[in-house]
Amino acid sequence: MIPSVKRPHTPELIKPTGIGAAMGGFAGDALPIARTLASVTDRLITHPNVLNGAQLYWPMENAYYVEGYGLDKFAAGRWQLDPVHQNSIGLVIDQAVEEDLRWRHLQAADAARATLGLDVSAHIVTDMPLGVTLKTTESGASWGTLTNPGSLLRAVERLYVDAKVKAIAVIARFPDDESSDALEAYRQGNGVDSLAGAEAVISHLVVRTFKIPCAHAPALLPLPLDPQVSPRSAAEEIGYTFLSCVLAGLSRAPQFIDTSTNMAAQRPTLPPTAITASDVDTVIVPATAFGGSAVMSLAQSAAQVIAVGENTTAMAVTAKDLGIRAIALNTYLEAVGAIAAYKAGVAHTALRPKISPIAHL
Amino acid sequence: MQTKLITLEVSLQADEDQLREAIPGTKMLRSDALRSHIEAKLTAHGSPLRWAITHINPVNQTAHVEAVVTTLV
Repeated sequence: MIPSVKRPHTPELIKPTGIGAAMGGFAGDALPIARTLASVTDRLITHPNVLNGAQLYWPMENAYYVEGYGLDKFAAGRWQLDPVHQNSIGLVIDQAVEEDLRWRHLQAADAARATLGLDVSAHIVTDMPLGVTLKTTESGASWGTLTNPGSLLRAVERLYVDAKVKAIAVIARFPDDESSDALEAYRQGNGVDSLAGAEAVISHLVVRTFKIPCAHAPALLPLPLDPQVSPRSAAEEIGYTFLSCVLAGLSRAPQFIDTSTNMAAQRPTLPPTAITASDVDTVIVPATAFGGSAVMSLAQSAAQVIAVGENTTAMAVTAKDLGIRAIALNTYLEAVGAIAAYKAGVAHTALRPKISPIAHL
Repeated sequence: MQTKLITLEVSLQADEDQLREAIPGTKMLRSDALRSHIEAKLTAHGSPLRWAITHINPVNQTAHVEAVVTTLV
């Protein structure tokens, strides 16, 4: 067999967390899109919000699980991705997590070790409660604060330095919110995930500080049964923890290589397998979510920028607003077709009944 | 260290010294240059963790940015 001389085809699928995306704004409900997209490409770069489905996940050899802060740095060309065979994972457990709930999470980690063979090598309880609070911005996006972010970073440092782990799963106690309208809407498959913004703050803080993969699983008491829960939210109703998908994703998440230094002598040598922003052929974004850092970077370098109309969000920034030339499509089904056509060397416009006259400059 | 939410209004238009970063034939900043411009503005308020333009004011040609930053106090 003659080896392919083409470089690996690489799309990046972005669905920012905590902005009420109709698809991908709930519990792992963008995973079917990622699975489909991964089947028509060589390698797919995406992030935990797309791939995490609480206890559900889907291992894909060619999908790269990249935390959002790292994704922004990667897209800006400051960090590169270094694919790995496996990462040893350390667990940080918020001191505020009750004993029963802590044991549930440790048992979920043990289950991942015993059934999936994952290397979850150490855990640590923070020296103070993290103090997570949930908030909503004027635009409707969720975010949050930590009362004691230093406690989180001290715990990660112990795992990173003493246990030499290569990835971090954080389990923070989130406020129980059984009766709020926002939670009710979320369970019905509407509105904004009120936890997601604070989760992003936690993982971004770790990734910014230590430059290693990190993802977060909120610790919550189980909710009372609601027979009307939407299928999009159902993955978070089926167990005691949301940790399984995080461990599966982190176990093979690419490491980060920081190449942002201006000093050439200090710049690390990239391994031949490293993935850089210039390798990204296509970026796929909800049509109203073009105001994020990663898409604003990649829109200038990717050959294809695809705006998906039916994935509505709480944001209101289109490609046109920022002068970005994008292929406007209504559905992810169409997006997958446009990406497959590009990979095949076919202009997607050739698949429509009317073909415009060739441009005359 | 504290986490804070801040908001900013940032011009979409290139200044005289940013014209090389404008979309050809316009005064509008390229999206990657606008990203750098926003990040630079945010550092006056702390170390950015997460930000996004949430909407555009088409009259003023400004971007409304919501950001979470960390500060030492």
